[in-house]
Amino acid sequence: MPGARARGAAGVALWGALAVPAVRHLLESSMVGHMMGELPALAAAGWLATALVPGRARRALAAFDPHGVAAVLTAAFAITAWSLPRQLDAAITSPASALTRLLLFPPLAGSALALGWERMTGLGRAFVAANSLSMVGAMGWLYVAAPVRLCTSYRFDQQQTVGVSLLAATGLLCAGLVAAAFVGRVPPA
Amino acid sequence: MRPALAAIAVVAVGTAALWRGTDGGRAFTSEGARRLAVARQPRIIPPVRLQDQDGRAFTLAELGGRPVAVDFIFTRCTTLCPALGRTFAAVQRELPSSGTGAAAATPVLVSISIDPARDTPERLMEYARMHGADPRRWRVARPLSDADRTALLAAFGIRVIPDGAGGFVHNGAVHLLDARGRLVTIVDYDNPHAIAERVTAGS
Repeated sequence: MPGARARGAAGVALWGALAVPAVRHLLESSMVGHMMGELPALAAAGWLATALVPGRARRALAAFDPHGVAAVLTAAFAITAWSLPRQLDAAITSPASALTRLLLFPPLAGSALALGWERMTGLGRAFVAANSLSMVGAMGWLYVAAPVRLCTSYRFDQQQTVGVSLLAATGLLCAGLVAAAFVGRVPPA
Repeated sequence: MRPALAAIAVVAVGTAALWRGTDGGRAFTSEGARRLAVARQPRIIPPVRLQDQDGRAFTLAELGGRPVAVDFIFTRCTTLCPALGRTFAAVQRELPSSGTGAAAATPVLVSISIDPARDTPERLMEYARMHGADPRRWRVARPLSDADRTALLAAFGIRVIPDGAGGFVHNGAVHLLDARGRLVTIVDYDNPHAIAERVTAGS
């Protein structure tokens, strides 16, 4: 499929771009760029690159995880672990942590989610989408309300900006979800 | 059966990874991890040359056999450092006076500048006076070279970043060294009484 190949190539190109030190430093120079730019971009690279996974491998995975539950759980754990404040710091101060994240986050967060998503039922997808809303919202509230700096690499005001931005993202996601849920196509009866 | 096992395996591995990555759910931030690491494994502090508010040169090791409490400051700071200064002032008031008991074991407070280029002994003296530092018990000092500053910040695990207004943002905590000069405890600065008790007891 040419479309799939182009998507996969775009994912690999994005992944490669995020490995360039200058790009990393630019994104990591602000906390918003790090959390809401670099991490989602790494996940997106993994998601897009999944298009290159051959059908045989997909079928083998599907035999173990026909409903995509294990794949989505993998993504949830990966996103939680690499969103911890100490992991954000580690990615800046420790080259080994930065390399580990660069190599593992795209497949464990982005690709796992993509592979799980295509096998999930509609209700399963809605469940994941609704839960991600509360997760992003809770994280935003945490960053807005925290009385101390959570990352030693960023200032307090940057942390608050991340909190407000995450709350704004929650609002947008919520609007998108409501639109998709109530203004979408009606399935045949 | 296989799908359930796959999901259970992911939850088990994911939980174990999160548990390990947060030191058993006790450290979600790098500051928390730094404190835990020091509590587990005391750190040797390199014998870095410091110069105090009177221009006297010394190393932390030369404070010889006395427990030491260290904080990091810069004199232009208007936010965290004045609060750290007030804490040390309160701790100083609670410390036993050097005239009673074993003078050799009297704890010492040391405030170390993270901005040694600007913080000359005169500036350090101003900071010391502002907070009522008794030079026998509270030394306000600066490392004598950039290499010394870097080595000291690395040993203590202090991360200094620009504050966007020409100053710095840095970890706000009090570091307790035992009589052998090892960093053994890092505590919050908001409880001077507890700091005085701990440093008097040799941390």
